Amino acid sequence: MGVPRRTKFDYWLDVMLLIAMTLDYSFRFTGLAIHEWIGVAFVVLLPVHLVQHWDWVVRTTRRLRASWRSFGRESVRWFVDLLLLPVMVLCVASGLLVSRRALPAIGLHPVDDAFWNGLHTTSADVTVFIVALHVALSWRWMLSVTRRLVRRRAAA
Amino acid sequence: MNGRRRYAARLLVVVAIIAVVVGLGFVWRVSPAASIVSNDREGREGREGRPVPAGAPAPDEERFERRRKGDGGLSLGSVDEVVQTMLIGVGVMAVVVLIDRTRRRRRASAAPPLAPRR
Repeated sequence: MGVPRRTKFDYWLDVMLLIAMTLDYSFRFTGLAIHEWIGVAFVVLLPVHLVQHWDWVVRTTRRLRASWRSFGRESVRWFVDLLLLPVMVLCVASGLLVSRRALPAIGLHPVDDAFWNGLHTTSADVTVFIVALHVALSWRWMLSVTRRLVRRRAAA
Repeated sequence: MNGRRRYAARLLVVVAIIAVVVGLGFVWRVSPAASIVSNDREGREGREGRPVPAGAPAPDEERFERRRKGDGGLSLGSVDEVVQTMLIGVGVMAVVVLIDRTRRRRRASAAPPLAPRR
Protein backbone atom coordinates (compact mmCIF):
# COMPACT_ATOMS: atom_id res chain seq x y z
CA MET A 1 0.00 0.00 0.00
CA GLY A 2 1.38 3.41 -0.97
CA VAL A 3 1.85 6.29 1.42
CA PRO A 4 -0.58 9.17 0.77
CA ARG A 5 1.01 12.46 -0.28
CA ARG A 6 -0.37 14.26 2.75
CA THR A 7 1.11 11.66 5.15
CA LYS A 8 4.43 11.85 3.35
CA PHE A 9 4.46 15.64 3.66
CA ASP A 10 3.59 15.47 7.38
CA TYR A 11 6.26 12.85 7.95
CA TRP A 12 9.08 14.71 6.22
CA LEU A 13 8.07 18.01 7.82
CA ASP A 14 8.15 16.35 11.26
CA VAL A 15 11.55 14.77 10.53
CA MET A 16 12.87 18.15 9.36
CA LEU A 17 11.57 19.90 12.46
CA LEU A 18 13.11 17.27 14.72
CA ILE A 19 16.51 17.57 13.03
CA ALA A 20 16.26 21.39 13.09
CA MET A 21 15.40 21.34 16.80
CA THR A 22 18.27 18.96 17.61
CA LEU A 23 20.77 21.11 15.72
CA ASP A 24 19.40 24.36 17.09
CA TYR A 25 19.74 23.14 20.66
CA SER A 26 23.36 22.16 19.98
CA PHE A 27 24.57 25.74 19.91
CA ARG A 28 28.31 25.07 20.13
CA PHE A 29 28.02 22.85 17.06
CA THR A 30 26.08 25.27 14.85
CA GLY A 31 27.49 28.61 15.98
CA LEU A 32 25.40 31.74 16.37
CA ALA A 33 24.50 32.50 12.74
CA ILE A 34 23.26 29.00 11.81
CA HIS A 35 21.50 28.75 15.18
CA GLU A 36 19.58 31.94 14.47
CA TRP A 37 18.73 31.11 10.85
CA ILE A 38 17.31 27.76 11.94
CA GLY A 39 15.25 29.75 14.45
CA VAL A 40 13.99 31.96 11.61
CA ALA A 41 13.01 28.82 9.67
CA PHE A 42 10.89 27.78 12.67
CA VAL A 43 8.83 30.95 12.19
CA VAL A 44 7.57 29.44 8.92
CA LEU A 45 7.69 25.72 9.70
CA LEU A 46 5.93 25.83 13.06
CA PRO A 47 2.65 27.39 11.83
CA VAL A 48 2.64 24.99 8.85
CA HIS A 49 3.07 22.03 11.23
CA LEU A 50 0.19 23.30 13.37
CA VAL A 51 -2.10 23.77 10.36
CA GLN A 52 -1.23 20.28 9.08
CA HIS A 53 -2.48 18.79 12.34
CA TRP A 54 -5.46 21.12 12.75
CA ASP A 55 -8.00 18.36 12.24
CA TRP A 56 -6.45 16.22 14.97
CA VAL A 57 -6.41 19.18 17.38
CA VAL A 58 -10.08 20.00 16.75
CA ARG A 59 -11.17 16.35 16.88
CA THR A 60 -9.30 15.62 20.12
CA THR A 61 -10.42 18.86 21.76
CA ARG A 62 -14.06 17.97 21.00
CA ARG A 63 -13.59 14.44 22.29
CA LEU A 64 -11.96 15.71 25.49
CA ARG A 65 -14.73 18.23 26.02
CA ALA A 66 -17.30 15.49 25.65
CA SER A 67 -15.60 13.04 27.99
CA TRP A 68 -12.77 14.69 29.85
CA ARG A 69 -12.75 11.93 32.45
CA SER A 70 -11.46 9.29 30.06
CA PHE A 71 -7.75 9.95 30.29
CA GLY A 72 -6.03 8.04 27.51
CA ARG A 73 -2.92 8.40 25.36
CA GLU A 74 -4.64 10.95 23.13
CA SER A 75 -5.40 13.14 26.15
CA VAL A 76 -1.76 13.00 27.24
CA ARG A 77 -0.72 13.97 23.71
CA TRP A 78 -3.20 16.83 23.72
CA PHE A 79 -1.90 18.21 27.03
CA VAL A 80 1.73 17.80 25.98
CA ASP A 81 0.97 19.69 22.75
CA LEU A 82 -0.91 22.36 24.66
CA LEU A 83 2.17 22.88 26.82
CA LEU A 84 4.56 22.71 23.89
CA LEU A 85 2.83 25.43 21.87
CA PRO A 86 3.43 28.41 24.21
CA VAL A 87 6.86 27.19 25.32
CA MET A 88 8.12 26.75 21.76
CA VAL A 89 6.53 29.97 20.52
CA LEU A 90 8.17 31.90 23.37
CA CYS A 91 11.48 30.17 22.67
CA VAL A 92 11.46 31.15 18.99
CA ALA A 93 10.10 34.66 19.66
CA SER A 94 12.62 35.42 22.40
CA GLY A 95 15.38 34.03 20.18
CA LEU A 96 14.39 36.48 17.45
CA LEU A 97 14.18 39.33 19.94
CA VAL A 98 17.79 38.77 21.05
CA SER A 99 19.07 37.89 17.58
CA ARG A 100 22.56 39.21 16.80
CA ARG A 101 23.17 37.85 13.32
CA ALA A 102 20.00 36.85 11.45
CA LEU A 103 17.73 39.82 12.05
CA PRO A 104 20.47 42.49 11.78
CA ALA A 105 21.35 40.88 8.42
CA ILE A 106 17.90 41.83 7.14
CA GLY A 107 18.03 45.32 8.63
CA LEU A 108 16.23 44.66 11.91
CA HIS A 109 17.99 45.48 15.16
CA PRO A 110 16.43 43.66 18.10
CA VAL A 111 16.96 44.54 21.74
CA ASP A 112 19.45 42.99 24.14
CA ASP A 113 17.32 42.29 27.13
CA ALA A 114 17.97 40.19 30.23
CA PHE A 115 14.38 38.97 30.26
CA TRP A 116 14.30 37.75 26.64
CA ASN A 117 17.77 36.23 27.00
CA GLY A 118 16.70 34.36 30.12
CA LEU A 119 13.39 33.33 28.61
CA HIS A 120 15.19 32.00 25.54
CA THR A 121 17.52 29.67 27.46
CA THR A 122 14.87 28.55 29.95
CA SER A 123 12.24 27.85 27.29
CA ALA A 124 14.82 26.08 25.09
CA ASP A 125 15.72 23.74 27.97
CA VAL A 126 12.04 22.97 28.53
CA THR A 127 11.28 22.71 24.79
CA VAL A 128 13.88 20.04 24.12
CA PHE A 129 12.22 17.72 26.67
CA ILE A 130 8.65 18.42 25.57
CA VAL A 131 9.58 17.98 21.88
CA ALA A 132 11.06 14.58 22.70
CA LEU A 133 7.86 13.70 24.56
CA HIS A 134 5.76 15.04 21.69
CA VAL A 135 7.60 12.88 19.16
CA ALA A 136 7.68 9.86 21.46
CA LEU A 137 3.91 9.93 21.91
CA SER A 138 3.57 9.53 18.13
CA TRP A 139 6.17 6.77 17.87
CA ARG A 140 3.74 4.22 16.44
CA TRP A 141 2.76 6.56 13.62
CA MET A 142 6.40 7.45 12.91
CA LEU A 143 7.42 3.79 12.88
CA SER A 144 4.52 2.74 10.68
CA VAL A 145 5.16 5.48 8.08
CA THR A 146 8.91 4.78 8.13
CA ARG A 147 8.24 1.08 7.51
CA ARG A 148 5.83 1.84 4.66
CA LEU A 149 8.30 4.25 3.05
CA VAL A 150 11.19 1.80 3.35
CA ARG A 151 9.11 -1.09 1.98
CA ARG A 152 7.94 1.01 -0.93
CA ARG A 153 11.50 2.04 -1.75
CA ALA A 154 12.66 -1.58 -1.53
CA ALA A 155 9.84 -2.71 -3.82
CA ALA A 156 10.65 -0.03 -6.42
CA MET B 1 -14.87 26.69 1.38
CA ASN B 2 -12.25 25.32 -1.01
CA GLY B 3 -9.03 23.69 0.17
CA ARG B 4 -6.73 26.69 -0.25
CA ARG B 5 -9.10 29.10 1.44
CA ARG B 6 -9.58 26.72 4.34
CA TYR B 7 -5.81 26.31 4.68
CA ALA B 8 -5.33 30.10 4.66
CA ALA B 9 -8.08 30.57 7.27
CA ARG B 10 -6.49 27.98 9.54
CA LEU B 11 -3.06 29.53 9.07
CA LEU B 12 -4.52 32.89 10.05
CA VAL B 13 -5.96 31.42 13.25
CA VAL B 14 -2.64 29.76 14.07
CA VAL B 15 -0.77 33.04 13.48
CA ALA B 16 -3.30 34.83 15.73
CA ILE B 17 -2.74 32.26 18.52
CA ILE B 18 1.02 32.68 18.16
CA ALA B 19 0.61 36.48 18.32
CA VAL B 20 -1.41 36.15 21.53
CA VAL B 21 1.31 33.97 23.09
CA VAL B 22 4.02 36.47 22.09
CA GLY B 23 1.83 39.28 23.48
CA LEU B 24 1.58 37.40 26.77
CA GLY B 25 5.38 37.17 26.72
CA PHE B 26 5.56 40.97 26.56
CA VAL B 27 3.08 41.22 29.47
CA TRP B 28 5.23 38.75 31.41
CA ARG B 29 8.30 40.92 30.76
CA VAL B 30 6.79 43.91 32.57
CA SER B 31 5.20 41.86 35.34
CA PRO B 32 6.90 41.06 38.69
CA ALA B 33 7.07 37.41 37.55
CA ALA B 34 9.71 38.42 34.97
CA SER B 35 12.45 37.62 37.49
CA ILE B 36 11.59 33.92 37.18
CA VAL B 37 13.43 33.71 33.86
CA SER B 38 15.35 36.97 33.68
CA ASN B 39 19.12 36.81 33.36
CA ASP B 40 19.31 39.95 35.42
CA ARG B 41 21.53 39.21 38.43
CA GLU B 42 19.07 40.90 40.78
CA GLY B 43 16.27 38.77 39.44
CA ARG B 44 18.31 35.61 39.81
CA GLU B 45 19.16 36.36 43.41
CA GLY B 46 15.53 36.95 44.13
CA ARG B 47 14.62 33.62 42.62
CA GLU B 48 17.36 31.41 43.95
CA GLY B 49 17.90 33.13 47.25
CA ARG B 50 21.67 32.81 47.09
CA PRO B 51 24.03 35.49 45.85
CA VAL B 52 26.53 34.87 43.09
CA PRO B 53 30.16 35.14 44.33
CA ALA B 54 31.69 38.52 43.59
CA GLY B 55 33.26 38.67 40.15
CA ALA B 56 31.94 35.28 39.03
CA PRO B 57 29.26 35.27 36.35
CA ALA B 58 25.91 33.67 37.14
CA PRO B 59 25.53 30.30 35.36
CA ASP B 60 23.10 31.61 32.75
CA GLU B 61 25.08 34.79 32.24
CA GLU B 62 28.15 32.71 31.52
CA ARG B 63 26.16 30.65 29.07
CA PHE B 64 24.97 33.79 27.37
CA GLU B 65 28.38 35.32 27.21
CA ARG B 66 29.52 32.14 25.47
CA ARG B 67 26.61 32.38 23.07
CA ARG B 68 27.30 36.02 22.40
CA LYS B 69 30.92 35.38 21.54
CA GLY B 70 30.57 31.99 19.90
CA ASP B 71 30.15 32.74 16.25
CA GLY B 72 32.81 30.73 14.59
CA GLY B 73 30.22 29.01 12.39
CA LEU B 74 29.78 25.26 12.22
CA SER B 75 32.13 23.52 14.62
CA LEU B 76 32.52 19.82 13.82
CA GLY B 77 34.67 19.45 16.92
CA SER B 78 31.58 20.15 19.02
CA VAL B 79 29.60 17.26 17.60
CA ASP B 80 29.42 15.93 21.17
CA GLU B 81 26.80 18.60 21.86
CA VAL B 82 24.58 17.19 19.08
CA VAL B 83 25.08 13.70 20.53
CA GLN B 84 24.14 15.03 23.97
CA THR B 85 20.94 16.59 22.59
CA MET B 86 20.11 13.37 20.76
CA LEU B 87 20.66 11.39 23.96
CA ILE B 88 18.12 13.57 25.79
CA GLY B 89 15.60 12.87 23.03
CA VAL B 90 16.35 9.16 22.82
CA GLY B 91 16.17 8.85 26.61
CA VAL B 92 12.73 10.48 26.81
CA MET B 93 11.50 8.47 23.83
CA ALA B 94 12.76 5.20 25.29
CA VAL B 95 10.85 5.82 28.52
CA VAL B 96 7.62 6.67 26.66
CA VAL B 97 7.89 3.67 24.31
CA LEU B 98 8.58 1.36 27.25
CA ILE B 99 5.55 2.64 29.18
CA ASP B 100 3.37 2.41 26.06
CA ARG B 101 4.41 -1.15 25.24
CA THR B 102 4.00 -2.30 28.85
CA ARG B 103 0.51 -0.81 28.97
CA ARG B 104 -0.48 -2.51 25.72
CA ARG B 105 0.90 -5.86 26.82
CA ARG B 106 -0.92 -5.60 30.15
CA ARG B 107 -4.16 -4.68 28.41
CA ALA B 108 -3.77 -7.53 25.94
CA SER B 109 -3.15 -10.09 28.68
CA ALA B 110 -6.13 -8.79 30.69
CA ALA B 111 -8.51 -9.09 27.71
CA PRO B 112 -10.48 -12.37 27.42
CA PRO B 113 -9.14 -14.78 24.78
CA LEU B 114 -10.87 -14.70 21.41
CA ALA B 115 -13.28 -17.54 20.73
CA PRO B 116 -12.09 -19.90 17.96
CA ARG B 117 -13.74 -19.36 14.56
CA ARG B 118 -16.12 -21.98 13.33
